Amino acid sequence: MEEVDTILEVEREFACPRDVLFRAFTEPAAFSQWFAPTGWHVLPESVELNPQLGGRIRHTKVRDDDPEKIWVVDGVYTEVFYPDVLVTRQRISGIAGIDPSRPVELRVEFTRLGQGKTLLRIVQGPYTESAALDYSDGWESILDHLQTYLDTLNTPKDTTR
Amino acid sequence: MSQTTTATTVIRRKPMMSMKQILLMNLGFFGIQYSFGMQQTAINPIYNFLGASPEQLPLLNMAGPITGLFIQPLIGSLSDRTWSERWGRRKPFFLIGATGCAVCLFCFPFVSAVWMAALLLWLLDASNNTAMEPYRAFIADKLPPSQTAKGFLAQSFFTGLGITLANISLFLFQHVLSGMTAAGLPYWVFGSFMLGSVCSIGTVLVSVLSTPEIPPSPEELARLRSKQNDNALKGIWTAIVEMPTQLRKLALVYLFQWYAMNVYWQYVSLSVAKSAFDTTDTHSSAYESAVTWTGLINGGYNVVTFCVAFSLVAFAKKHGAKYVHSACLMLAVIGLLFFPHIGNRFLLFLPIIGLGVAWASIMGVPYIMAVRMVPSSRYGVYMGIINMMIVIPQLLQTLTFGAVYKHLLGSNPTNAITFAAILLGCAAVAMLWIKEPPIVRDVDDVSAPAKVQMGEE
Repeated sequence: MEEVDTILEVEREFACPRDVLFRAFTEPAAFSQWFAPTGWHVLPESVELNPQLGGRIRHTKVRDDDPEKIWVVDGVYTEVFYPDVLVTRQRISGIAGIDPSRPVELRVEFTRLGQGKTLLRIVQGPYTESAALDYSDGWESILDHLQTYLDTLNTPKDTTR
Repeated sequence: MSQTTTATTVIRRKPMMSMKQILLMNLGFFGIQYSFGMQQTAINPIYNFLGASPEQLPLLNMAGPITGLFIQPLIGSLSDRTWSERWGRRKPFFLIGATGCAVCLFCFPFVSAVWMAALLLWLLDASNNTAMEPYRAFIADKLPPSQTAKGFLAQSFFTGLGITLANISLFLFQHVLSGMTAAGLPYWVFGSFMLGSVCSIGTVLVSVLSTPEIPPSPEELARLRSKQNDNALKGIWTAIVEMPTQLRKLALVYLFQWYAMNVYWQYVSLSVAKSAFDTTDTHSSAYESAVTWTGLINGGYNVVTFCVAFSLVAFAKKHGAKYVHSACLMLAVIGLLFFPHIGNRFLLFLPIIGLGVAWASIMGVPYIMAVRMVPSSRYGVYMGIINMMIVIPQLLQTLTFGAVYKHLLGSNPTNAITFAAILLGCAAVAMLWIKEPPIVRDVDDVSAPAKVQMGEE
């Protein structure tokens, strides 16, 4: 049996302030527009985000070409430091190779870079090596969708600096 | 570790490390801390043996704060931009620093004048700092965030162990080697420093050889290369400007606690000599005995440190870091208020327990808090800034305490230790000012049903 000992780290730079990205992760209306990989979409009515310590984070993703295939994320926020860090502890069901009974941690960090850019750093796990590989492919397209969502916004100035 | 990248995204998969791997990775920290232990306990007596007066000690100890202030942030920034296929990113700095430590420790017993000792101390401290800053960053490089606390605690553990063995070696070698050099240095100093020299380079080599560094992806490497000409000082300044408010408050706590710790380290041997060995003559054999006894006492509080370090973290998770740190500092206050008034040398080991618990907290709890407050991609720069919070109070102490000792405290080491206790009390109170969010660690409640139940796959 493959060992569950791998942590996934994803990094990408975005040309927008931290607070815009932070809201994309914490406001249900925004979140439901991008937080799914290619071939999946988030059910808007399933999204519950309460970004405070102990607050709930829940949502369901559905496969575009097969509504029977779903992917449920259910967890709590364990650390919330606006606009620096968000941490949730969650259980994921519906993904091959990921044990829904075993919680994983999702840590999202927003680091200010020069020229109005933000470094988004996502740390998630633990997974098996193969599940981490699959999930990393998912993150690639999820972040592409985030970029598309951000492109539609007229990004306001970061008031947190 | 394997990596998958596109033009804009870096994706890494880091296997978690076993406790054995984490300990091996941090073993080099033991050697570096052994070197610091020698610096804390043996350097000031060497100054005394060579004829320096107690009032000169703070100025002669300028090396620590100044090299720490400038070298750690710069080395951290430099190592962030370094990559060599053969040597790695952080390892070149461990090796350069550890080699410098080994050479300086080897040379120290041969000094014959105060100026030579002061010069060597500068070089030793620069070497220690060169090795130590990348070691903090190494934790963030190698370990996923969930294991970084364990990594920092392993460093805390080796801090206690390294300093303990440094102090114990001073005591043991005194009983094995007798006589002294023409310059007035006892031969037992040679034994301790030679052992420190071997430990310093030997343990770092074990860590370097047993722990591979994670290579950057081509995109990361390109980014590293493009940043090589960036202004490192500007990066440090930006991080200071953007520092989270609660981390700024920690600077006030550090001002009190590190000023106090410097006072303790510089005057504890004089205090022990006065209270338990009934001498103030730094050239007497009784003072020499007091110095070795001080080594045992310092070894004693470091034994407490590595014994309680891991349990303190459990307390911090349960009750919050600020209350645990504040309580630990108060234990040190109680201990140090009694310490200079105890005439029985064996009873001195009781009040020092409080300082041992506080020292464990000082070395571990702030890093756990800092890790929670800042993104891990900036651990390196913030580790350097936290070190600035340590060395600026030390520098302030170095510049001011000579006058304070002479004019306010009556050149009395008993008063110096009491003064340190009062400052630690101030640090304990200042700690309560930090607004620490409650910690939610229990993951069992995530099993509640989802709002929209779509069934399992």
